Amino acid sequence: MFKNIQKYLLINQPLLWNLKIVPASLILLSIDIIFFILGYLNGSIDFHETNDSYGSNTNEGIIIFFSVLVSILSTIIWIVYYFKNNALKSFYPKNNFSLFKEWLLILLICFLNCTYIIAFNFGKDTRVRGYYTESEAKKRCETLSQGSFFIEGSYSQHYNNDNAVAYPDDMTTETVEAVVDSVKPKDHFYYRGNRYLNFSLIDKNINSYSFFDFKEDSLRKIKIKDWLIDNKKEEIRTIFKNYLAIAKEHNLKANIDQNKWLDLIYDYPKFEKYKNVGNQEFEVSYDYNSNGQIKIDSTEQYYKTVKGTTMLFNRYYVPEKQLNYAYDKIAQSWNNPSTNLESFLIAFFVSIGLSLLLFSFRVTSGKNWLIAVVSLGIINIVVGIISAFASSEYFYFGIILLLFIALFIYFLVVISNKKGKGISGITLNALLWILPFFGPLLYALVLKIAKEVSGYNLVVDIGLREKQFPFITFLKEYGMELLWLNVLFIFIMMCFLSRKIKQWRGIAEG
Amino acid sequence: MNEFEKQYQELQNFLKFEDFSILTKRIIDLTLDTEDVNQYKKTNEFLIWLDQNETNIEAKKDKYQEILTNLHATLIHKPLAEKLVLVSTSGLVKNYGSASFGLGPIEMELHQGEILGLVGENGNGKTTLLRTLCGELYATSGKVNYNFKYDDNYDLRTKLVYIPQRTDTWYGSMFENLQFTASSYGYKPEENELIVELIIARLGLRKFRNHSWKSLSSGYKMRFELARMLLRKPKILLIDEPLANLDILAQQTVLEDFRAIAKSPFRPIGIVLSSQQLYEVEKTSDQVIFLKHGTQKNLHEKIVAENEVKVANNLVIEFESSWSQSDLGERFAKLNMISLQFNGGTFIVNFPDSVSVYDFMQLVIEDKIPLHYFRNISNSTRRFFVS
Repeated sequence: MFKNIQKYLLINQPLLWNLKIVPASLILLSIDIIFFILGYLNGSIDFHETNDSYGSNTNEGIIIFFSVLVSILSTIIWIVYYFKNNALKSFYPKNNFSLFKEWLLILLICFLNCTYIIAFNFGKDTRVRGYYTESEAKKRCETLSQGSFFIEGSYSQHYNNDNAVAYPDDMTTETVEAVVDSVKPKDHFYYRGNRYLNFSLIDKNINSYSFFDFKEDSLRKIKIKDWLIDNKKEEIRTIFKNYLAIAKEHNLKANIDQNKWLDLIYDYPKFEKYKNVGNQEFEVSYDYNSNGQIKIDSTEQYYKTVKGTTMLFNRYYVPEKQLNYAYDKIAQSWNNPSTNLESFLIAFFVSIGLSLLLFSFRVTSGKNWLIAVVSLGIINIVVGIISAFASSEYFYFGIILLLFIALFIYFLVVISNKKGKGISGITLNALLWILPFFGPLLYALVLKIAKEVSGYNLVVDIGLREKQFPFITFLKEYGMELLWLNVLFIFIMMCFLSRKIKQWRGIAEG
Repeated sequence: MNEFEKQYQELQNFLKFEDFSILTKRIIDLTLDTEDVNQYKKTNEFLIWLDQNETNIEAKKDKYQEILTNLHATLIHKPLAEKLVLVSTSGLVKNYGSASFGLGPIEMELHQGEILGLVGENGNGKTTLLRTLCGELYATSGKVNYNFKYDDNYDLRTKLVYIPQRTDTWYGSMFENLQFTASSYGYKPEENELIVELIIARLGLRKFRNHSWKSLSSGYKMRFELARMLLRKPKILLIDEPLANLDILAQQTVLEDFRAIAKSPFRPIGIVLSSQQLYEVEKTSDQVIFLKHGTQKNLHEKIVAENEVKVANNLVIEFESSWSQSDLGERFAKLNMISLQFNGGTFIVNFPDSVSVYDFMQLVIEDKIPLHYFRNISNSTRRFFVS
């Protein structure tokens, strides 16, 4: 099939034939699909796993290593075929946009070659998302979040700065520093006009999932508190029922049912006397002590020696740790997937860099390319050392930007003079390589100067900064958009430069 | 009788004397001149038929006649190309910075259908002149005027084909490389394969179509370069030492190919070639430029005005003899010999303009001077080498 396609392209689209665009992109796409499948297989959720489990992400490093290895190998193989013919060096007729088209196609191949990790992560996300629809996953996370209110976990903190009221006796013996240190939580708080003790059930926090923002979490917590205060026992029972149904669906073990759970925690109206329901059967990472030196409530926990190791077991537990770990992944896959615009932008910039390295080699010569690598490296080191001595980032940014402008002008002068290429083969390489960094360097330089000139660093308050320095705030807020603008700049410049490169190629060598 | 009809008559003679090899080549040239896909197909089919009927002379003759008649009918009404000036130089000088060598000033003119030979010892500027004409080097002073349309320098260089002495390696299949050239030069998909087939047949490369570059001899590498050049339809072909590394037969074949390509009645091109093979180049070229230390001497001096009389040349004879220089000098004194030089096994004798080659031969016969070889080099650049 490839042979026939290549034969067709050879006589119809010589550039596409030369680039081996069809076999190369199909092979690279296949590799991307393989990585997607690997990601899909790797993305299955083990509902028995918790964040205490070992080796849950060990595949990641291996996949990155292999993706880089495959990228390098496939690039080398493709280059061997691509570099067999060079119409530009042979002075075959080319239209003004032919070189730009060639660069775009090189970029496409480089991009396909730089997206293995993205494909892998996308495979993972797809698999995780495949467990439930977004609305179903969100509904389940809501149930788990509600249930977490009644499981071992954190409490709200109610601080009181008035030590005289909280700890009046201590004030007589403590120093002023000690008074500051002694800012401690109050032992109670008020909710809907009722007084509740700290660490009462009303004080409990809930788990959050990435589906929900702070407001939604707060409203959910208030709703549960209101059910408790209004003694809506059945509503609470329904939460437990739904929670345990989810656990059962994943074959996760709980040693209580909804009624027992309700009995353990329900102490209307104060909710002070309740049992802690553990978030798993036993503590995994705990400083176990066979002598039982750590104080525990024996009605809630107990020590037990299993296979020579003494562990702390919960008398009542639900599989909250496992559910939380799994559903956190599911929620992340919907709300904060690994495959996002930023990861594409990174891959795209790497591809642009790689494509420019290949393109510059293609339009100049291996000798020019190597000299450019060495000379640009030396310039970078020298400018870097001077910047370090001068303790000035301006210097580095400024010199590289000036270098870019100087190289650009020199290139245009060589073309208009038509008196031999001189060293323009070397400088053209450097010009193309600095091109993608022009925007970011300019951005960094402008931001740095704007901050210095306006006295931005002297203002500490973030709100005040935003008001007083709208330009700097704009630069910071729209950093990502400006990076995309830089991509547009690179494309426009390449469109212009590729036309000029064709003219440059026609100039005498010496 | 126009140029085409003359050439057609020549082909009829080839057929009459059963000189099929050259006839086939010229038929392919005429086929390419038609620029017609149907004609390409017919000639390709004919070539395949020839492969299968190599020994059937009578049938071959009929087939040849048939295709010749067909080509004649197609081309007879096609307008012939005018022999326009392609490139001229005025005071062209090329210096290499601080290096002592400098080429020029060079004054030259090349018309369509002309072959210009460049001769001279090594390091005297032949390659520099070729590279300057093809745009690879820029002129330090003076001008190179190309008398055809081009958009920019790149476009100009697509119309000039320079084949250096040491060519770049071709990678991949030879046939695919030629197809790539053809499609890059805008040949239609349906004619691409046909035209490449014709051109490789024209240059006797059919057996080598799938060979790798490294397995080819220098002669065949040169032929593949010529095949590629034919596909590029250049205005000017500039070729450096094309005869180097070729055996004597191959040299004559290549030179004959150059003549046929340059002198196409419909698509003539200009050829500038450099060589050390003086006599072969002189036979093929319309003009020969001898370069010594970058300075130009033309074999055929141009008569600028009608009343300007062409400067007479001395009679210069190169010969080999077993006699000593003093014996020879004694005999040649009878013909008012100007000089007699012994140069690397051969003698060069110089007589006044009034002495003809027949006078020289008569003297040799009368005095029974033993001669192993002799050549009249009065009109050859060879005399520049010895003077």
